[in-house]
Amino acid sequence: MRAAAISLLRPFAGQFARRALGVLPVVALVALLVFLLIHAVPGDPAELLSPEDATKADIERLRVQLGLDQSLAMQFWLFMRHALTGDFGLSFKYGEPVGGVIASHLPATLELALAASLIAVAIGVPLGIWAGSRPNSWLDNLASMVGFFGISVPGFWMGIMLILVVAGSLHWLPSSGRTEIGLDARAITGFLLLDTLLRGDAAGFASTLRHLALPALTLGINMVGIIMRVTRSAVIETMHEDYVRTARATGQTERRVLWRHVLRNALVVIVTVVGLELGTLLSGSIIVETVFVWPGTGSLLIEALQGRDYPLLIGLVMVYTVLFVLLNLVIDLSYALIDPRIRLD
Amino acid sequence: MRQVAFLVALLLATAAHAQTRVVVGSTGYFTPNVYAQSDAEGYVNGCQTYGCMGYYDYHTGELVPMLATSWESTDPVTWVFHLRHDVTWQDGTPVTADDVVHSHWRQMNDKLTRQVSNGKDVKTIEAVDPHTVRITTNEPIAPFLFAALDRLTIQSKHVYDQYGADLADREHPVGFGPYRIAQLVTGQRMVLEKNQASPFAIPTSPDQLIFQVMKEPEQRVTALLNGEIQIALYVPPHMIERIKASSTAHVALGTGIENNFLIMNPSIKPWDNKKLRQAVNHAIDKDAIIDSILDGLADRLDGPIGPGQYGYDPNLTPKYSYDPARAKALVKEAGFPDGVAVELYSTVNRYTDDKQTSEAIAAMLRAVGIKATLKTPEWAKYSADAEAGRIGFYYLGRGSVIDPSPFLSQYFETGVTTRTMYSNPELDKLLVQERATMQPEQRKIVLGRAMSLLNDDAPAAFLWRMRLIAGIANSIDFTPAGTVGVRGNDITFKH
Repeated sequence: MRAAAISLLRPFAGQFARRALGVLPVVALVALLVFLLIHAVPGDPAELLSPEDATKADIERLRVQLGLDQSLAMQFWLFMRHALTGDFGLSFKYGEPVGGVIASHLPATLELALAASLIAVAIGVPLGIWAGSRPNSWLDNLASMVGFFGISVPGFWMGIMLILVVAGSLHWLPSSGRTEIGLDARAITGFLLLDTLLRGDAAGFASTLRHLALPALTLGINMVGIIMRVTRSAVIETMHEDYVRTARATGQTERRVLWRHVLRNALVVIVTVVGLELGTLLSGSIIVETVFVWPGTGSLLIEALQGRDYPLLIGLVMVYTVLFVLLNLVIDLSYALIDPRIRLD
Repeated sequence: MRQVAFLVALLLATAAHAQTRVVVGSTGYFTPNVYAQSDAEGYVNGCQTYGCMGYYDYHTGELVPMLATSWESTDPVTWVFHLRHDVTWQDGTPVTADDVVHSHWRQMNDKLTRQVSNGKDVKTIEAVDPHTVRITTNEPIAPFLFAALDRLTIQSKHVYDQYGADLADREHPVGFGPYRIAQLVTGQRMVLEKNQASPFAIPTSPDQLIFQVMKEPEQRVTALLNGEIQIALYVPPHMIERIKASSTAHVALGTGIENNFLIMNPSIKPWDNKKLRQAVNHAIDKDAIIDSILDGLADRLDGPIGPGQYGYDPNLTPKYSYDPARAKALVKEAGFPDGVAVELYSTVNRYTDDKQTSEAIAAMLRAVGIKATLKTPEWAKYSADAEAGRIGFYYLGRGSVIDPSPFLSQYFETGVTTRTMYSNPELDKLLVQERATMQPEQRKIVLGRAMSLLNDDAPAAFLWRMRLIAGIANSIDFTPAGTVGVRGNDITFKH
């Protein structure tokens, strides 16, 4: 069994390595573009970072300290040379290595994105199957309406409405932050749900869950709509396939036909969409994190942009790029696992 | 009966172990390297953890001794500081003059330092003996004490020598202040615990003081009302009612030291015209704006500074009353019989109700023939343009105005910044003279002359000073003053 699994996965390892290498030029190109773009945007980091009593000489001194007095080409060359060794420099604002600053914020964003996609899949897939197996019934229409709502409603509006109603008027859930402030917030993995479990801290776990609920729902709601609609059409399409008719002819129950034959074949499309949407979630989290004051990479990105913290900004965009590209890679590779007819080469 | 005894025992046990804690919702940021930040909150925290020679008490307006018990200026460029003998670092080593010299060195030479401006006037610094420090300055600097006491965090030389900057800051934050750093998450959170061994720790202050970064005012106020935090700093005026309506928190008002004003850059037309600049000063009804937009939570300025700021003179002349007729006449005299079109730049949400007040100002200017259109670029662009002197007419706030000397020099002395592009040899002379005048009463006279000249020439319209507004839990007493920094020793518990 294990040997079989390994032999099944073996071709993927080589594939993965080859494809991962192909990612490098993409990342380098993105680095160059971002670098040029942020330098083209007006604003002077040395001036922004200086205290309000800074004189011209003070600002000039800081500009030299930050290396901003050098030519753009020289700055890019220095950046790339260090970046190749994994050193993205020091954040202008925090004076700390960019990698560390991002690492301390990334788990918050990943936790949020994972929770959001979990919510989206848990609601979207069953809703889609339900609607797709009874096309044009009133249940289908109702589900489609939910789907449309999910797709159309903008995240920032949804977030503010949830804060107003659920947190503001009803006082059911907190409106911002990751956990209650007084509670132990030391990081083990940085994933607070996991950390509080590891510590056996029930109150902390509950508090984290309560804080996670609204932002995850806000972030997930768009994805619910998309997953629901894609699942629905995939199910409808698959229902008309010959092998489904054949399966029905063998006398299997409708439920078994649906879950074993229809769903498995509809899954390729669903996985693709979930994967692609995960990427969208990462960018969507920038808005949601700002609304809910979630201390993740999204709000960090906004802060870095407003403060013209070039190293931190480039580092963040690089991380987002790599995550995006890796995600696509994993989706591509997963096709072959779901549908053996798809060959990687 | 047994149950009662048990309850009493339980209560006593909890009382014995009860740690008092205050959580502050803060807008600052926290980094391990204290010299790498230069915001007001950073200096306060550096002083209450590592320590400092003394600090400025915004409540009383006095410099309070800490490590230095006394100081004197033996001649206009020489200062001598006498240090306490009974102060030790957390590891038991005595604090000496060598630590002060080392800290100045680090302030100037740390690879991440943002504090060079504090020490740039120092020519020499030496440890005369373990408890005496002598500093000479490049030229006579009357307001030098503030920089030497309040703006220099003292760190231990031996910890630095043993571990190096990075490890010392991160792993061994050894100080002599009333608090020690128990936990620091860059940009998010700092936990301070009382350093019981410190001679500066007092029994009434909280045992634990937590600073939690909460960037949004809404978040801070909500957390305060939920009881999650006890001090919400920087509360905007429109949220005051929510706090007042609550039974668990109250509003505390403090005098601010952020002066708000409009710059009129004379290098950009039509602001080269003095009469037009004076017209702007007469056209703005500051009292009406303070009453209707700022809810009375600001104090009018009739010159560069207001009451409580060093050298303030209520009889400073000339003053500009709200006089639209006079303003109209001045616009005509300035050579604009049909009025003049200008662009007024305003920040958005950088200072309290900045856009709303700027809109009101623009309307008042239009009423006297100065046809102002409002421009509101993003802050990064705004501040870069202001700093480079590329915009002519803009709204700005300048915090940390205690002794006005650095403020006046920064904005109005030739060549110090290009923010105003203002250049007036007569003013330059007065500013140099003011800095070299060590005798306070004489110095105030020179400062007064400089400010009077500025009022008359009007390269700026001085508007108002915002009060500091904080939301405070009813369980404690704390009044904000001067900066957004919070000293644990200023907090008391109500019983």
